[in-house]
This record gives sequence, structure tokens and C-alpha cells, in this order.
Amino acid sequence: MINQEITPGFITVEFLGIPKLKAGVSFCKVPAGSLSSVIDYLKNQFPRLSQEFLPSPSGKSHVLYSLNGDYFLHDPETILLEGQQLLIISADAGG
Amino acid sequence: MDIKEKMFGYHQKYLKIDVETGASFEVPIPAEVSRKFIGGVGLGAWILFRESKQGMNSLAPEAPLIFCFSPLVGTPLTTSAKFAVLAKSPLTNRISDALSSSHFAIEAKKTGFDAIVITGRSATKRIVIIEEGKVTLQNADDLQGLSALATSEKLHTRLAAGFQIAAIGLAGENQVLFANLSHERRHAGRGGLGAVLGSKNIKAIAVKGNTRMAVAFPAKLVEKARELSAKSFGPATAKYRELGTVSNLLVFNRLSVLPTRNFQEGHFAAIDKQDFQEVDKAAKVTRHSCAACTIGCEHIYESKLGKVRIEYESMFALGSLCGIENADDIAELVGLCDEFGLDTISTGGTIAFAMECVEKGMLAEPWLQFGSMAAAKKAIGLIANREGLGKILSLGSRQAAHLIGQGSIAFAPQVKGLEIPGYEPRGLQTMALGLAVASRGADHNRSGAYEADFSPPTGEVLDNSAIARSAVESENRSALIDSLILCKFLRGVFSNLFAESAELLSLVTGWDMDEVELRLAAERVVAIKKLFNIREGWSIEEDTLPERFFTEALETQSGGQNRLSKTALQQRIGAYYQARNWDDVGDIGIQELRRLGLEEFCNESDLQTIKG
Ligand code: SF4
Repeated sequence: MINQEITPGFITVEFLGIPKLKAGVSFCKVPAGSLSSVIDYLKNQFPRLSQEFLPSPSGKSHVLYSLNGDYFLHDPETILLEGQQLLIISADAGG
Repeated sequence: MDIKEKMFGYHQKYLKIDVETGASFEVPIPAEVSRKFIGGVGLGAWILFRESKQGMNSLAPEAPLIFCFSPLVGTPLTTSAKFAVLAKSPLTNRISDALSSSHFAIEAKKTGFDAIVITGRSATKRIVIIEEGKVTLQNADDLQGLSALATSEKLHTRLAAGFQIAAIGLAGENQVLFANLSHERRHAGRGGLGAVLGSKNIKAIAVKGNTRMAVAFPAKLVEKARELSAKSFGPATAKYRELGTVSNLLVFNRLSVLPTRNFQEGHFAAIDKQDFQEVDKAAKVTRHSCAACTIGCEHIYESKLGKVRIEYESMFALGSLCGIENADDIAELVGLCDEFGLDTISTGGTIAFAMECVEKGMLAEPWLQFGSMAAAKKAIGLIANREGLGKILSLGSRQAAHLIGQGSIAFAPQVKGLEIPGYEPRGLQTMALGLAVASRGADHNRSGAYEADFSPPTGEVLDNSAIARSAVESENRSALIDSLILCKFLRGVFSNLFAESAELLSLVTGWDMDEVELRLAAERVVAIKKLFNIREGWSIEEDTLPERFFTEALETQSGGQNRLSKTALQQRIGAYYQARNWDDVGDIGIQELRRLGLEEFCNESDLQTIKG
């Protein structure tokens, strides 16, 4: 996990790749809560990111959410706790 | 003319050239073969099977090198300017099929052939010139030792306008077993295809033609091409377009699946020095694209050696894998490999392996240390020239391990002799299966099984058969894309790849194709490559990973551990064979060959049984 100061009541969101390009920052703090509430917050905060949260032609998301870099999240109701890190990356891993 | 009578999309013949005598002749390709194997890798595999003898030495004069084109090349479809190159790999002794791009593909198809087969060995160094159907050989003494790019530049001044050139560098001439073959900085990289051309004493192939390929439904195809191009500007290709594959470096590192120090670690402390989104580095990057591409994924970096195409695979292999930190240094090493015509993944993998041998005291070359730019640079030069330690390393990590001994094969980063690309198998367990079973060896282009690993859980329990089905589906998709040929970076714009590809192919060829037919064709392409390997001595023991991955756990950044169980992998391999309708030991039975329409590849006794 990347060392980031813990802000009470907040999680850290880390952007990489296209999400970083669209957000214009590498990190931000977001109030802890469900994954869907975090996404809504990010959509408001970074309007250029919004398109990334829409599904692709094949129905998949353009971005992936990883908790602390350990595993991917799917359920929008997943609760993210204070101090946790949510990583947002492009879904396409090809290279 | 009635479209049922006229063949669209294909010339229905290939050109066979013996570079020893200069003789060339045309070989017909039956229409049903084109339809069954499509083009590119599929049709090329069919030709390779026919044109090669069982057990032949990959570098013998009679071993064929095949350039195979596709029904889509030359059409307005975005990313379709691609060609396949196939041979028996001198690195793996199994099938090698690689793709390259751009104007060579378009021009070669215009020579009036669906493929070009090179055999023989020229007595002196030469180039092959194909203009329409006419073949000439020219002296290449003045091109000796030049890079592929410099060779092309020189030939452009020597030959008439309009020729397109594919060439090898010094490594190919010296038959380094992982030498590549290039056109316009795009490499048919893996498996030593450059060494095969080098063994024929041929430095380059130049093509020029005027034969335009007719399309069955041109107006509708243009309409579809516009739709596809429009989609290619969307978010599904944004990563490739905006940042290039090099952006994987930071992501893979963060997920602890970035192979580091010869797969001893899964993340690299110095990775921030390789962030090409940072202003200082981004300023040195310009974007380019292959011919007929609306995505434009090529990110060209201004290195000390001049312009270098930076890709994730090259940067990981010569960066974290060798412990090298500085982005400019890595770009320089990539440039050096391009200059010599070396596959960057195999070069980085083999050097990283040798560095670990030195670290463990198995190899008395103390200068070859992880993290040393000077050492990596020196090693690349030795490999390309096959001098000193380079004589051993030019054979790739598997053969080098056999020569070094002391159990080093356990950490030689290869499968079937092909060095492993930048996907850490312990953290990506579906990809581990894909790497183990792929026909051409450890492979991220013929199996995109990592897609399943980079997906959120669906709630379904991911048991062995689900993992196997993912790997099979991924291989089938790749087989289709590589035979059509389209660029894999376009795959995200399709909602149903097989159905939409069937529509595109029908518009080009006039055939009434559907999803079911193309799914079967893709399975057939996977199977014929496997059949080639079986004929060349493949056995089930080859479908595995180096021992290191089963015995060493991998620390993750968050303090966890990724492990890969050998038993679990073996069970998944069994499930994969089952999902492919192969038998327990991975052989393809008669019934399956018949289902795939591959009866012609059964041996005589099998045929008697089928005819029954
Ligand atoms: S996306 Fe990249 S590799 Fe694919 S055709 Fe376009 S430029 Fe070439």
C-alpha cells in the first residue's frame, strides 16, 4: 500500500492511467462509504472522469476498482472504511 | 460478375521462393482452405504445416519462413494493415507466429498473393525483391550489419519508389535465436523469426504490387468501416491512444504483478522514475500509428539513441526485470535492441536470468549485476554479436540454463523456451494457465487470459473449469483477431467479436458467415498450431511454468503473499484440455479433428478409422 496520511472519516482514492489523466491528480480524499457513494462523489468532483464510469460496448466497465491493490471490487454496496485505499485504473490491461 | 463465382478478399495462391536458386512458383490455395483458416496466423499455420517436414531444423535451408496476409488488409477497416510471419521457432522448436504492421502488409497483398513462402539458403547475402509476381535477388553486401531501419532507408534510395521493406538487423544475420524481423519499427518479434531469415542469408524482403483486391460489398463495407473508426475514438481504446501500453508499468506495479529482478519480486521500488505521464517525460513523447489505424497507440520517446517506440513489454523486460530504474536508460536499451533486431522480452528475460545466476554464484561474470545499465548494455552487444557470454545468452534462457546447470532451469523465465512476458503468474492465475498452454510458449498475445484476472468478481465461484473456459475463450478470440487480421487494441469496441467479425468478413468476401462458423474457425486455428507442435515432438510436460513459481511465494505491496500451486495449475491444465475436447494428455483425438474439419492432418491409420 502506498503510504498516505489517514484522514478521519475519509478513504484515499488513487488514480492511475486514464483515470489519472482525466482526474488531473494522482490522489484524492473521499468520505468513507459505499463504493457507489464514492463514485458519485468522484463524478461531481471530476466531471471529466464521468465517461469512464459508463459501461463499454461489451457491457464491461472502462475502469476497475481495487481495494488496496489486493483485489477488485464489483458490488456497488461494498463499504469502504476510513483509511482504506481505493485504486481506480483502466479496465483494459493489454500490452 | 456473380459474387458466387468471383473470389473476393483472396488471391487464392501463394508465392514460393527458393532463395538458393532464385526459382519461384505459384501454389494454389483452395477456396475452402481460405474460408476455414481465414488468413494471417490461421492460413499461415496451414501453409507452414504443408510446407515443412516433420523434425526439420528451424535454421535448415528447407525450413520455410512464411509471410501471410489477410482478407481485410487493404480495406478501409481501421487497424487492418497487418501481416503474419510464421516458422518453426529456433528458440522453442515449436510453432512461432508473430504479427507486424503497416505499409508492408498493404503492399505485399498487392503483389497478388495471399502469402509468400521463403525457402533455401542463398550462397551470398542478398535481398529478395517481389514486384507483382516477379522475383529477383540482389546483392546485400552493403547492408551487412545495418539495423532493419537503416536497411530500409538504404533500400528506399536503391529501389524504385513504392517498395515496402521488412528486414533484419545484425542479430538476425548472426542467427541469435530471438532475433526479430521488422518493418517501420514494428517487429514480428517473438520466437526468432529474424534468425530464420538470417539463416537463409537474406537481409530483407522488398515488395511492390498493383493488384487491387476486390471486395464483395464495397459501399456497405465503407459504412461499417466508418462506424468502427468512430468507435475507435471512444473510451474503449483511450488507454492505448492517450498513454500507450507503457502506462501498464505503474498499474501492474501497484497490483504487485510487475515482474521484477527476474521474477523474484512483483513490484519495483523505483517505478515512479518510469512514469511517462510526468511532464518531463511526457514532453519527450510523440504519437504515431501504423498505416490505416485510427487509434495510434505508438508512443515514440526521444532517447539518447534517437526515437524509440516505448511499449510496456519492452520497458518492463529491460527495466524492472533487470532492476534498471531510469526511464531514459531503459529507453536507450530498447533502442539498442531495435538497432540490433532483438526481441526485447527475450533479451530482457535472458539477461535478467543471467544476472540472477551471477547473484547466486552460478555464473562467474561479476560485472553482470541487477540494476547496472552498463552491464545490460554490454550484454546486449555481446548477444547481438554472439561473443563471450553472448554466445550462451544468444540461445535464450532455457538453453543457457541447460549449459549453466546447477538447477538454474528452475528460475529460467520461460515456457517452451520462450521468455515470459510482463504478467506475474502468481498474481494472475488465469494468465498462469494461458502462459503454460500457449502453442508458441509463454505468450500474452495469443492468450489474453489476464483479462479474467483483471476483472471484478462476478459472484460466480471461479473453479478450475471456469478458469479453463476463460483461457479457452481468450485464445479463441486471439486466434480470430490474428487471422482476420485486426489489431487487438481494437477488441474493446466490439460487443460481440465473433458476430461482428463475421459481418465484416462477409462484406469483404461475399460469403454468408456467422458467429458459429467463426467460432469454429478460431478453434481450428488453435488446434492446427497445437497439431504442428505435436508433430514436432510436443509432450504434456511442456505445458507448465518454471519451478520457481510453485516454490516461492511473492510478497505483495500490502504485505500479503501470492502463491501458485503446482497441483492447482495441473488441474486447470486438465480442465483446459477438457474444455478444448482434447484427451487427458493434451492430444487431439480423431473425433475432434473431424469436428474441426482437420481430417487432412490425421495420420494414415487415423484416416482409415474415420473412413471406417
Ligand atoms: S492500435 Fe497501435 S498497434 Fe494497433 S494498428 Fe494502431 S498503431 Fe498499430
